[in-house]
Amino acid sequence: MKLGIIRLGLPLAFYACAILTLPSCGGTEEVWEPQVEVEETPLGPMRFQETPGPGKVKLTVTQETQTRETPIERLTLVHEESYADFDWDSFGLVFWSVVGGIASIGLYFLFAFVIFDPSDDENK
Amino acid sequence: MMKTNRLLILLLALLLSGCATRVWTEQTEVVRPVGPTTESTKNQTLADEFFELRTAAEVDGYALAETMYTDDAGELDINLLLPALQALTYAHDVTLELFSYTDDKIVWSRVITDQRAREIVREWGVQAELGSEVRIRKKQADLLDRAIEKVLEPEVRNNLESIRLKVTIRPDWE
Repeated sequence: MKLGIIRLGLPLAFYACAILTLPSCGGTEEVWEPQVEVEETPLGPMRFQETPGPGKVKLTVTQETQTRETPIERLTLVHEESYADFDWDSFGLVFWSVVGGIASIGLYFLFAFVIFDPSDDENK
Repeated sequence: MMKTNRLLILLLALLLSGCATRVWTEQTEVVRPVGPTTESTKNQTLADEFFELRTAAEVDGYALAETMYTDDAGELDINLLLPALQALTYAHDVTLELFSYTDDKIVWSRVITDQRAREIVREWGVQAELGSEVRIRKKQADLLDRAIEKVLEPEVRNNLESIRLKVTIRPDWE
C-alpha cells in the first residue's frame, strides 16, 4: 500500500513541480530594432492642384516639406511567458477525442474480424 | 503493469494540463543613432487635413458650412452643386471658400457666377438622368426646391427637377 502510494505520488509530485515551475521558463530578451526616425517640417504654404469633374472639383493638397531622416535602433523588450491554461472544456474535448478514437478503432476491428468474420466466407 | 499505470497517469496529467506560451514585445524610449541624418525637401501630399467649405451667409441666414478632410492621397472632392444652387436661388455670384483649420485662414476660393451655376446644374442634371444619386442635406434640399420655384428657364428647371428626383438626404451626423 505504502509502495503504491509512493509509486503513484512520485510522478504526480514531479508533474506538479513541472507545472509550478512553468513561469520560470519565461524571460525577457533585449533586442535592438532598426527604425528610421522621421522629422517633418512644413516649409511653404499649402498648394492646391485642381482636377475638374462633372459638377465637382477635385483638389489635391500638397505642401513643401523638409524631411530629416535618422537611422536609429530602438531597444525593444521581448517578453516570453509560459503558463498552464487548463480548463475543463479543453480537457473534455481532448479526453473524449482520445476515447472516441480508441472506441472507433476497436469497433472497426470488432465489425471487420468478429461480427463479419472473413473466414466465414472462405468456409462457404 | 505498474509501468503501464504510471504511463497512463502521466498521460492523464498531460491531458489535464494545457501548457501555453505567450510572447509580446514592449518598445522602450531608449534609442541609439546608427547612421548620419539625411535631409531632403519634397512636395508631399497632405492626408487627414481638416478644412471647412463655406459660403457667405444670405439675408435669410442660409450659408454653406461643411467640414471636410483630405484622404490618404491628399485629395478633397468638392461638390459645386450647392454653391450653384445658392447662386441661382439668390441671383448673385457666390464665393466658395476653403478655410484651413491648421493655418486658420482661407486657403482656396472659387467664384460661382450665374453662368457657371447653370453649367454645373446641367452637368448634375445629366448625371442624375443617368442614375447618379445626389446626396445633400435637408436644408440644401429645401434650397433646391426654392431654386425650382424661382428659376423660370425651362432647360435649367428641367435639370433641377431631374436632380430633385435623385436626391437622398444626408443625415446631420454624416
